[in-house]
Amino acid sequence: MLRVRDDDAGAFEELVELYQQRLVALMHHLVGNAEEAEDLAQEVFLRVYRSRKQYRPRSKFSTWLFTIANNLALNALRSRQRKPMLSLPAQDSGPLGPRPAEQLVRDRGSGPMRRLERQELAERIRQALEGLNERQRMAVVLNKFEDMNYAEIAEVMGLTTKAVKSLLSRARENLRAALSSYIYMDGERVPEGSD
Amino acid sequence: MAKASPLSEQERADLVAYLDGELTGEAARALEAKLSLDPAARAEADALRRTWELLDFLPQPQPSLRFTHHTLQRLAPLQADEQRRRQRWCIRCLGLGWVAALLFSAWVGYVGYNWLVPREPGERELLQDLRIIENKRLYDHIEDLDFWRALDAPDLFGEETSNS
Amino acid sequence: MTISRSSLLLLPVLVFGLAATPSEEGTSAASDAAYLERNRQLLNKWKADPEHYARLQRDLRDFWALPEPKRRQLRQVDHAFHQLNVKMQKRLWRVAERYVAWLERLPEAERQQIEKTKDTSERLHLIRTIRERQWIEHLPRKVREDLEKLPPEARAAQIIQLRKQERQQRLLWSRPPAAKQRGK
Repeated sequence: MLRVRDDDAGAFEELVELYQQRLVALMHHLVGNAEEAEDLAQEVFLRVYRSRKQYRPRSKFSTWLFTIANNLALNALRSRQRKPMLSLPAQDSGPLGPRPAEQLVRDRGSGPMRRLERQELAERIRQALEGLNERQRMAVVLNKFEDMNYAEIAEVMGLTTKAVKSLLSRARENLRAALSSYIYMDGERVPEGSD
Repeated sequence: MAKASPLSEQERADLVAYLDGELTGEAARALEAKLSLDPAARAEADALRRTWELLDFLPQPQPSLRFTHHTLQRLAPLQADEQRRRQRWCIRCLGLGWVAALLFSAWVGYVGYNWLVPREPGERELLQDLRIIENKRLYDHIEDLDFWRALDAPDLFGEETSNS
Repeated sequence: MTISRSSLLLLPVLVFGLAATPSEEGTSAASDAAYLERNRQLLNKWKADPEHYARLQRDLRDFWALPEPKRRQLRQVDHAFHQLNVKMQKRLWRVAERYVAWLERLPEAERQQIEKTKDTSERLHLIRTIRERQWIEHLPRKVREDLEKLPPEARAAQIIQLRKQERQQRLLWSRPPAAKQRGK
């Protein structure tokens, strides 16, 4: 980034190559749409370029990058009308629509069947993630997929660490409620004392 | 089995922080004590952990092959605009050329003196590079990040071995 | 835009200001007040330990005695390292500590040979050769003698197999008891 700031030829392209996968993945988890995710990720890079002269390496570059991404993503989520994208057409899930969790457990047949059940499970999980509000979703994605600790998430999202702790707690409780049918899919006995 | 009282919001937040490795000290010990005594808390911890692990089933999207190319294409108009502004500024700067030349000579003299008569590093230099100086013993032997990463191999220093 | 007389008068101030500041790359971070303040707090804490502070002073002088390109290189490594995520930083830090501890224990001749090898891939090859020799030396005598009897290709394959077994055992034995495991 220091080289980008100093207008080193090729440095910006290297930066894009280095961070594109993480940014596109982040945006995709947030907006659920590949095209929009790429569009937003590109916008992040353009903003980085526009503000390169103000860049000061006081903390990790990725923190600065994801702060820009956070602002852009939250604005996009609040202002755009999104239609949920299904990764599977309804008929591939069987004649009655998406299969219940129990059936996902029992159908442990051939390779294609396992791929199908994984796709369906991924879709349920994606829907559960979409059920969170924007800030909860962002905190979850940063914590889980960017491996950020609470302090780093707080810096990116402009919150206190205490607020991040509270956000993640509510987010994970909401995810647990939405995915409760799937968390014991390996057939392990439900521990005593749970619902 | 009698159902234990549900976790409060604070307890749940502490539990999530504990699972994330963010709860330390007295709060962590208090939570561990609660987990050891309360089956409902343990069940909740297990459910939260398993839910978190489910997120691993989400595919990790990859950018399209043309992503970099499209990004650079969008960049081109920005760069052209900056170039135009720079050219306008350069023309104005020509008028200051003679002042700059005079001041530059004075600056060279000043810097040259500093270079010939170096001063001892002091607290200011220590503050600037504290992190590096504190860890100099390690940095002296690691010249770049690629070399560092390469040392993280199982047959080198990637895991503890009996002859490490 | 017109250039005012006051702007012209400010120029000498700017130029002398530039001359007074160090001209090295990476010092833009130093100008950041929050970064310096954090360092100041750390330094104040370390000043309470005379031995630690004395070591810092020594290392500071050694650091400033290095050629400027070398100082710049250390700053670049430090900066690149701190761009990594926390998990990777912790991991690589342990790697660095193990490497340097190992290097410091090497016989003088071998350590100098490593330090004098400028090409990174050659240096890695040399480190790997020494590590393998040391690893073989720590094997039980019978295993070592059997290895020595093998032709080179079979020997190399057997070393890979033995390393794999050692890693599996280490993983199995170092696993904490299930009741104490934390999960996310």
